[in-house]
Amino acid sequence: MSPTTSPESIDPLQLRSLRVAYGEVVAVDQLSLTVREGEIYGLIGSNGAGKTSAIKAVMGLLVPRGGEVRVFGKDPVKEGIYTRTVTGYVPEVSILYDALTPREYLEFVTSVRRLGGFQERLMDFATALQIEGEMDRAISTLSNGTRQKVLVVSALLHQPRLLVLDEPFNSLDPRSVRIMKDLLLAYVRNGKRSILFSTHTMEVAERLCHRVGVLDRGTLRGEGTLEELRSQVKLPQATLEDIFLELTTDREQLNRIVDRLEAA
Amino acid sequence: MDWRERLRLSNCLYREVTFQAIYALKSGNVFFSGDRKREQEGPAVAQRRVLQSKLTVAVLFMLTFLASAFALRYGREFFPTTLSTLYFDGTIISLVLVVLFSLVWITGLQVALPFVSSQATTALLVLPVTEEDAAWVSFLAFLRLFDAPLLTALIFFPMAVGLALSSVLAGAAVLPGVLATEVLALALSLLTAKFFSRSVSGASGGSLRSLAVRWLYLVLWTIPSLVITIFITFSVQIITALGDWELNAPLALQAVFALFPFPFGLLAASFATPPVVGGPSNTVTIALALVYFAVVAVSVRWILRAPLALSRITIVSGARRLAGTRLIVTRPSMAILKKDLRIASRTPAYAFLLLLPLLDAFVLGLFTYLGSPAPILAQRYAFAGVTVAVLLATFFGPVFFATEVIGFSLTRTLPLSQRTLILSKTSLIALVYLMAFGVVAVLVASRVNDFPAFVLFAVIELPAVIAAAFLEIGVLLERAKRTGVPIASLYSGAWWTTLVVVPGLVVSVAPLVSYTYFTLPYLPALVWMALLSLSLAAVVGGIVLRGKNIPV
Repeated sequence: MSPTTSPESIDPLQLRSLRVAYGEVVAVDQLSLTVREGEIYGLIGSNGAGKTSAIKAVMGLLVPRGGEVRVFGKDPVKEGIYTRTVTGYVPEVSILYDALTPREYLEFVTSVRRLGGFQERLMDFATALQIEGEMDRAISTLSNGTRQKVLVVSALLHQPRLLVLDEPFNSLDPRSVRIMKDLLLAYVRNGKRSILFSTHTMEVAERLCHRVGVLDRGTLRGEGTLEELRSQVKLPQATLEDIFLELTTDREQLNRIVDRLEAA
Repeated sequence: MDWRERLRLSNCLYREVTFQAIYALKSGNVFFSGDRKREQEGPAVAQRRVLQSKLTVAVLFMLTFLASAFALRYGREFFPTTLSTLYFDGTIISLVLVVLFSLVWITGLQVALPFVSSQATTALLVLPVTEEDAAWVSFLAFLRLFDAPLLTALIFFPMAVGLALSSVLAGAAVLPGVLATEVLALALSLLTAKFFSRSVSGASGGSLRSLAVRWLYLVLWTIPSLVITIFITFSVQIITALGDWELNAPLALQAVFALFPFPFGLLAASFATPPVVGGPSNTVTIALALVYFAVVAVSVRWILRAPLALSRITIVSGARRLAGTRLIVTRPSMAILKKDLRIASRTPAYAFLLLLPLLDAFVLGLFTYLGSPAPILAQRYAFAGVTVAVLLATFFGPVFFATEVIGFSLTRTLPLSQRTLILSKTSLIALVYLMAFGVVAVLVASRVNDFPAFVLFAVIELPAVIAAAFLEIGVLLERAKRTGVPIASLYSGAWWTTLVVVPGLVVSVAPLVSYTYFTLPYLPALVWMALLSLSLAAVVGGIVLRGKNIPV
């Protein structure tokens, strides 16, 4: 069942004609989308499609060249403290303070967020993601997957109303991916919390997301539930992968390349 | 693989290490500036900055050699001593070799750690390159990171000695001493880098004991600096003491001259000055130098393979602990302070800069204590000690922001205000200043003529130190928010980081200058100083700390 928005509530996230550019290079152009309360929204696209740039704009880490971003109705650049209070963020690259241990890093995060009453929750997350034995190791010595888990835990501890995840399944082992999927589904179950996440793994997006936005070279090519996207591409039995390729790729060119590779 | 190919490959490694030392912090950083032209120029800019850094160290070497030439030529006129000319000249040359040893050691150590963390040599593992070639390529790349200072010492110190003693032979005889000093210092750099990589950078946390052990290791890092400061500050006392030993304890003196690098200093001096009756013969000196050279030869063999081995170190944290997941939550400003101290406790370069003002305060305080000058003179030395602490705390202020750079992309996603961040960084700088003052105070308490006035002087200066810290951190933070440059990296030599120190120093020094201008009597001078110091803190604080809810 897809979540709906009541008329009086403010959507957790609204992007209107968002434009992000680096000098002459336009990374995101005219991107408009809405993440509703209780919804998992997946932003899918190839490498360099503009997913990370859009997410950084959502977090107020990049100032858009045009359009607007509203997190619970507020501008994340001007109302940075508010936005960061109500969101949790896992970046694409797990840059952490390498010289700290997970315990020290989480103490820093929880102190800055002035959190209380989270100890039991932390124990649950740490146990589920199997990082309880890594709490006192230097982060520089941890595997990429463990670093990613530490980031996920730090983003979840304050139970944000909007969780923003940039490629959250990168480097995770299959067990942790499964746990993460279940965890994210449970996270929005009460209908009060929402998730925006980017991925290029179609299977994950298909299984998790209530709605999906297909981003290609900075532009939104399609958006909706799986059914809505199937109608859009006129392929009733299509998987999300088929839909993605249909919306973003020249199928004939792709087939020619595959033929040549087979012949080689 | 021929030598040309080894050099070419080592150049690739060198470019990668320099790039990572300067720009690694940028990768994946949310501060991505978007200036593609600058991004493309990155490797060239990185090499230019490393070259600037190498030339700075080379200039420092040159100044040391210039000072030594002056001491060799005119030292006896300024500092009358009973020490024989041969021993005097030999001691001066040896002291410079000790300083050179410490400088190469500390420089090598600072270069070796980024060399390890860059993992640049891993590229060689997937290429059809023999182990021997890989070792040579790694060694050449490592050597290139500080070739200019090493070559400067090899060329200019012999020249300085030769000119000062008017003897080409004496100058030439210094060369083996410089070579031995450089090789042994390099070996020690690589050994200690291995030790720090394993025991400090990757050390596990979780207990006060492990924190204390890490800080103890980090104090070891300051030894070369301590040696340099002590040998420069106490050079006159050392020569006076050796003069006394020559008269009263000749065996003790000869034992000192048997220690590295004294045989090399004595050997060089013996070509320009007559031998001392009853002193060690040239044969003994040469024999001792040869013994040390044998150690050098063994070290060379080890050094050739060490950079490759070092770059393959896998840092593993201690054994698994199951200490639970309970966290200790503090106020945000305290959390930042704790985080910075924890980062410093695993990052020798940052810890060194935290410890440097304390170290300098210790040496100056010790000088005052041991020298037992007249109370009024001791008071001035104590004031000088505090002034140096002010200068160092302010000079390294931007570096305290550097601890923020790597994880700042994440810090910026937390509800943290600019005011909290600036206040916590400032409190760290103020803490360093107060600790340095405490060290001086303990050492000079029994020597100065008016201890309360000294304490008042140091306390009154505190607001000015705080104002300077506000200014430096405030400017750097604004800059970081606007441009996204990973400022204040220790190796980046970022222009803004350097530039911001100048107004910072002006602010912190202004009350000290006003105190000097008003001179005695103490109280009115201190009142003027207090007024200026407090005004600066109020004005700068008012500007920098405006707006409670401005995010970082």
